[in-house]
Amino acid sequence: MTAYILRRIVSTIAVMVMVGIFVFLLLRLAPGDPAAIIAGKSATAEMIAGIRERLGLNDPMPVQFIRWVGDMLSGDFGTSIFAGRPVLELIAQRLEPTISLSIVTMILSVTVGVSFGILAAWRAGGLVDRILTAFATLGFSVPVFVIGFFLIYLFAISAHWLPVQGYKPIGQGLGPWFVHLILPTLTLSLAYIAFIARIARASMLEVLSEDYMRTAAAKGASSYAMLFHHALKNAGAPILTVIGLSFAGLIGGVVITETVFNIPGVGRLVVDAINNRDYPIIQGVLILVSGLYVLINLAVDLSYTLVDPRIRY
Amino acid sequence: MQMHKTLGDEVLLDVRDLETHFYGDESVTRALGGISFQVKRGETLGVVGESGCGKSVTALSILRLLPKLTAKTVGGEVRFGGRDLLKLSEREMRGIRGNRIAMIFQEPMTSLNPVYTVGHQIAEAVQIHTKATKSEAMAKAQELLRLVRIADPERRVKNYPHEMSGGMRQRAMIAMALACSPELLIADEPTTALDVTIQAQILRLVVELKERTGTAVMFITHDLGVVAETCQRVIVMYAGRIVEQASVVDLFARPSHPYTQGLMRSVPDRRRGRQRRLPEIPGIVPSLREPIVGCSFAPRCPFAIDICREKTPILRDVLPGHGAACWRAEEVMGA
Repeated sequence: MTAYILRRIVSTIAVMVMVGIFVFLLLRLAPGDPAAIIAGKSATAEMIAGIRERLGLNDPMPVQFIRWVGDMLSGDFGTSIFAGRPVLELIAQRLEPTISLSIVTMILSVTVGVSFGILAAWRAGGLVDRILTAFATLGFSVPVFVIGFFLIYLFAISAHWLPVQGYKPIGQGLGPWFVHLILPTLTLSLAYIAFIARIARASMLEVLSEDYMRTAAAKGASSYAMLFHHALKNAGAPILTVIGLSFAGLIGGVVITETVFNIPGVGRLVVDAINNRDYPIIQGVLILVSGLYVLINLAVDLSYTLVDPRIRY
Repeated sequence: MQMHKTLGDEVLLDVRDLETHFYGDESVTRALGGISFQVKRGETLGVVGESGCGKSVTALSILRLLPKLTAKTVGGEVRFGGRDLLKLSEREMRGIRGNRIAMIFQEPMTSLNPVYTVGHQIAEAVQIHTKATKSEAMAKAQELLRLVRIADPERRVKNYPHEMSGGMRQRAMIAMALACSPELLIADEPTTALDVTIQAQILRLVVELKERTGTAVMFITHDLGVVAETCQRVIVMYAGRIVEQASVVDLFARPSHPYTQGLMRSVPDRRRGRQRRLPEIPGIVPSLREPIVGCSFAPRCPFAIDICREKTPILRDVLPGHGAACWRAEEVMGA
């Protein structure tokens, strides 16, 4: 187990180096001179040359890359071109709304998605199963922004039950924080609920036809014990995989949702940075998200050992 | 309940005209065509026949463990302890399963849940039907593993199924089945998937535990040798019906149905010396999708005459306590 974790961490470093090279080249190979972009439209040739010198853009590429990596390892992700402040500080300021949105979305998606999947598998072929399957197909095929605008129209503009847009920090009270999160969370969750429900249903169905389920029934086990005790743990590995994938893939949905609901999170930060060609911010967010992605994958692989004793690393 | 159970004639399980259908996309398979038999308290009843003759379906129909969407018991009664099991609520039925009637299955490799320890799974059977605490149930599980002759039960209770051999898993299944001292144990080909040497051990174990606990056993097998070793009475099934029913001694001495005779001839026998080829029963088992006119064995039967193809023979006594469903049973018996 320890050896496995060490091996995984080594391969994680390799992956991160690849990601680093890609993100680094993104800035260097993008059309236009970074120094010219930083200097702005009205800059003179001397100003641009000065910036080139200051940023070390005249050094060979490998030297620039190693310096860039070294800076990041010491916590310096560069400075925003547009805001003129450290990238890490800008990201930290935007972290709370994004983390709130992501975590509430995942809790909702996992609980509702897994329950739907179990219910549909238990009554496979029945009415509940067909309704849930139809819902899952719908939730999976309608784009996030369409769902977002539809929910805003329904619950905020027509019914006036919920705020249209915006975000309230958790520090200003749990109530306002939660009320502002309901619609964005619902919007973002729908696709994940559908995704998780489909996978949960499929893997539960497979498990329910296993011989040991008949053994459990022959013991006199109740339906509840059969489903949640005997079946769910066996169906756990595929479900954990999609939960991990969903969580890792959440960032794409977060960008759209934050834009639709005007939430000042990391997603909005990236969108603004792309509009402003603020490369240091884009690079910083990409590196952090990639690192998170790799870590989640590692956590998912390790969690398999919790549900299935046959898996040992 | 602590009284010594006598091996008398008290009927424990009384199955009457049991009829089970399987539903395909466009067809109905009459897996059980109305069978009747009894299991007496403490006896071992063998149920013999080829694959697909309805042996396992009989067991699953009794316990109501058939797949809900595709199979249904459409007629008959299963009288057990004065009540018809087919009329019980699902909740009442759960109180019977694993408690008063337990079952062990053919595939020990897949019949245990891979993600729980063997001890946990045995303890679960105890906890479902008694008020035992978790630790009491685990202690009982350990005791049961010792009962089924698993060495080092203190360590084995903590094993997962994949850490055990096939023979050991089947012993664990037996331990689980005996957890609540059932009055009836249904053993559905419990040795078929095991190595020959292990088969003999498991058979001896079942016989010995049966003697010790006084539980009645319904032993489903396709192996007449197993029947001869373990059972007191036998029913022979063919195409969803019982074709012959007798004590083991009578069955081997005077097989009265051509099918039973065919089965016996196809068992290897050392006393007959080296045989180039075992005789087999010609023809194939009829499809149960269409209603069968006449005797279902007639197309394969060397004794078949006109009446066999027209009227279905009912199970009737050809000797006291020895029934056969054959128009020519008396002649067959003498042949």
